[in-house]
Amino acid sequence: MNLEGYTLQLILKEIENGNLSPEDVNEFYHRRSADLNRVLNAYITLLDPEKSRPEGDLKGIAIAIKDNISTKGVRTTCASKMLENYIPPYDATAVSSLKKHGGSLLGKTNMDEFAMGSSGENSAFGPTRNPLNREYVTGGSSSGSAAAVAADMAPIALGSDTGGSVRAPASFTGIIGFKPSYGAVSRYGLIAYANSLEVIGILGKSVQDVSLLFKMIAGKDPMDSTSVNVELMEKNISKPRILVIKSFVELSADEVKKEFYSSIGKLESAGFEINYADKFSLTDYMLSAYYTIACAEASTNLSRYDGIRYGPKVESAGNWRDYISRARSFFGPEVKARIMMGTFILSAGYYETYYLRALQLRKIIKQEFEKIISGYDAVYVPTMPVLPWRIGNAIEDPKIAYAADVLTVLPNLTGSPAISLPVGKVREFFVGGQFIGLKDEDMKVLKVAEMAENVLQVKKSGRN
Amino acid sequence: MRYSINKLSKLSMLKISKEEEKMIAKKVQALGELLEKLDTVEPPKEAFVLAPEGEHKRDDVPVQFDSDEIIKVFNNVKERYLKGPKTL
Amino acid sequence: MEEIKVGLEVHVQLVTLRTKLFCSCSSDYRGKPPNVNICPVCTGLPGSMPALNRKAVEEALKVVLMLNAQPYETSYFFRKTYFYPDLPKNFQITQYDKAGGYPLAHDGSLKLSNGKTVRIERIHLEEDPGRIYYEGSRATARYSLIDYNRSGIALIEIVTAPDMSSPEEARDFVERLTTILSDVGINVKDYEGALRVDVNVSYAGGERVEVKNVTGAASVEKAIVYEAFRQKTMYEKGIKVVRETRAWDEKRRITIASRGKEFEAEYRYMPEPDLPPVTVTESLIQKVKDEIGGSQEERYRELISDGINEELAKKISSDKDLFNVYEKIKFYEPSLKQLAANVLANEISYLIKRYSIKNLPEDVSGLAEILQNYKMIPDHESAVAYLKKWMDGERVKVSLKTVSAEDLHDDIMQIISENYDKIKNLEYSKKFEFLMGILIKKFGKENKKVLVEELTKVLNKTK
Repeated sequence: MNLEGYTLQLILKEIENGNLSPEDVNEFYHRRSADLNRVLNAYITLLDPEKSRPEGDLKGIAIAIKDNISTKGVRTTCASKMLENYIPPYDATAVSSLKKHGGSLLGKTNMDEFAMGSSGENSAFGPTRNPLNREYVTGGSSSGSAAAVAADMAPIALGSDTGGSVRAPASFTGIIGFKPSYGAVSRYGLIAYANSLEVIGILGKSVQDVSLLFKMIAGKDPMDSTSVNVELMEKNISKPRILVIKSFVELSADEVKKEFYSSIGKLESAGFEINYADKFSLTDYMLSAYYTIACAEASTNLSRYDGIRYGPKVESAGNWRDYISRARSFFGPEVKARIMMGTFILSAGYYETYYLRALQLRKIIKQEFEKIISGYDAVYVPTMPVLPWRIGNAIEDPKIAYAADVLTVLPNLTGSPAISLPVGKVREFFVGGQFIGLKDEDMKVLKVAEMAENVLQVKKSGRN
Repeated sequence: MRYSINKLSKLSMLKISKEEEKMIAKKVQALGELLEKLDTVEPPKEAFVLAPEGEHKRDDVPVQFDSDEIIKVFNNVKERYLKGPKTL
Repeated sequence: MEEIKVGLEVHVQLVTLRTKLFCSCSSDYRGKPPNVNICPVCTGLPGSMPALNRKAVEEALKVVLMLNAQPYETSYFFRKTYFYPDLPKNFQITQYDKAGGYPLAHDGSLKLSNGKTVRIERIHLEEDPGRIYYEGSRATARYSLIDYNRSGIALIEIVTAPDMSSPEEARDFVERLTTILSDVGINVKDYEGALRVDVNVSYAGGERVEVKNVTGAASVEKAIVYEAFRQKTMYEKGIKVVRETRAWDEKRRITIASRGKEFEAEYRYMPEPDLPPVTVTESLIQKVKDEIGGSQEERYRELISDGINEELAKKISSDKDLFNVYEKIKFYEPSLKQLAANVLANEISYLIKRYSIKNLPEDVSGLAEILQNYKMIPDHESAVAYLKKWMDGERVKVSLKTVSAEDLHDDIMQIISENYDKIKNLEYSKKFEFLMGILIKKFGKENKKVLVEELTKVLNKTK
């Protein structure tokens, strides 16, 4: 039995028809994962298939979960030495929702440490390798979830998106990556990097797949005070009205730009209404606002890792300060740099200069985005301004990785839903395009993306 | 931009090894350059916070979590106490 | 003597709550084994998030209103970062009045016994840290022992202006505050460590010194006496007092310099992104006002004007529950108020203590029944038994069948003859027990005393 290219929906249909059993499906993904993980490094922890078959829509199918989402009794490392042996005593709400729908756990996927990174290289467990070309990065931070789905090591996966962490790797590996509206999915149990920006997202092989899983994990959760109920009814759109922001496209490399514009042509011929805005006036400031807020929140979120309750046990003859500093040396360099930057941003005298200005910018960016999108179903721009780079390049020059976020941070700053899908092909890689909508209108962007997916048919090889 | 890696690592309670110092300095430098752009931004007229929207409160009703499960997570335990470092 | 200026930061646990501020763990931690009331939230496990206790806001607002403070329509939670092993997240969730933040309330006041008004700058909500224990002394212990049962308990912090100018005034402030708190049911005196004070003292216009963690009004006075003396001595020697944080050593009655200096600048306050702002609407304020009712003073005055003597009035007015029962009885049958006051201040107060009774029944008709027939209840023991029955929430009917000794004699004789076969071979004590069982069933427990007397007489005669 070979399930290469199978979507989750196809698998469920085949189980329904009696052509597949959930045991066979889980066995296939488990064996393939165990096999390919040696070269791709997509999983940090791969679990043995569960014997019992839970009831429910998912029929016991095992799903890959990013290793910053808490799973009861299964170690959750955040790809950090700091949590190498940490076993959560509770399930994240999104995980218990999946279990309630009959889902089970395939394994915990590799990622940039504490979700800080755009390439998948900042992992204490080594970089994830791109199934399209193993010398190249997968994109991050949900690197393992993307690689697992792209390489048929999982039917579908959960990730998290703080500044593009679901969409970037989806784009680099040629799959679908959906970042729901802020608060649409409970963050309870998602190990925080930047609380006000992030949300749990889904990586899958088709828009319908991610839509299916989204509806299972969406909804207000009493444990997450920022969660909301978003509309989950299917939207009916006959002629999508799309807005392309030119200044975003212009930030992209030529080969990305070319494929992206060609996708616009195809959409237009298929009846999409395409409109253009010359620029988004705050384009130049989005990264500054994003990194200021993310580092500030990260520095306080990560202050709890002190080795006292959990995490590395250190030998210290000195006092508690010495103990804590030693334990905290277990963070990797990217994490340390962002914590230190956050500490700087929040220190007296700089709070006003940087943090408050970043919040102010965020507010203005949100207002401008709401203005610019009014009258349209979605904004359409490339997901990543560049194609995947060789593993190691961004370690040499950190600016490469930071700059790669320029097109993905907008929906995190505005709380918008955004979905990336392959819209073009360059050599062995894909070019990703993303549809961005108004906050809480998740079903609308999903519908637009599904229509675009049908028009573009970039990955014809996949079985649907 | 006026900050020293040394001071920031102390404030953040982070020990930094000789080997990683250069790499971290490079990353901090790159992040710092992004921050500098904010110098040109008009500061907000009055300080404000961007708070999450909505209203959410829970009722004052106890729910017992299995505390033994938490104790299992703890690094060092002595008679249900978490054993921590010296506090002097 | 040069003038001293004293300002207080009073931390009060909202002891009326059943759960913690941000999680559903029980707040009942005193006397419990370590680390039983803990969950991922109050131990700061990765991925956990705070969820605000609705009642905490309401209880805090009661204090706000009693201290004439102004609630902000919208207030925010902030993270205050500092590393310490009792603080599981290494930041405390609190409220802040700078950086765009607003605390729960501002600009209140409290009047001291000498008529002076102390300004209250702000009142805010925050979480308590865990507790650290040491085997032996802190100085010699090789490790610390940490208990998170207290971690996350809801606190309000009341910050005054530096308006007090003597140790006595500071003590008076804490005592008056304690009374006001008990007026809204927050009886901090019943809970060890539920009121903790950080004392700010400056002498002769010098730098202010903060003495942290002083428990109770008497210690506040002592700490200020010592600190004022210390600063005065330095002043007279020409040594400059530096701004610093000191700790109060209760045993030695001195303040000691704290090693780790904590400055505001290092706290790196930022808004808590996981909590929406707290909104206080007019209707919420009205709801809280309705719950508060009057103050102890008002209750005392009402009792005195009802003709209740000072001793009883003091006792009843100090406990809102007792007073509420008194009010209800008065409404039910005004002529019972004097007797009600007596019984509430004596028998009922005794029973509350004796059986640690938490709440008195809402329905007072049972109590009214007891009071109406109080004179006919043959003895004190029976009266207490009736009262206990009411307090346990049982239905109470006072038996009006008063049993006279003469009637009883015949009844007892009849019972003996009916049961003669059963008792003829029994020992005296067994015989007595058997017959008492039948008599109690027939005449009720409340007649126990007269039954015992008469049965004894009869049995002694027939022996």
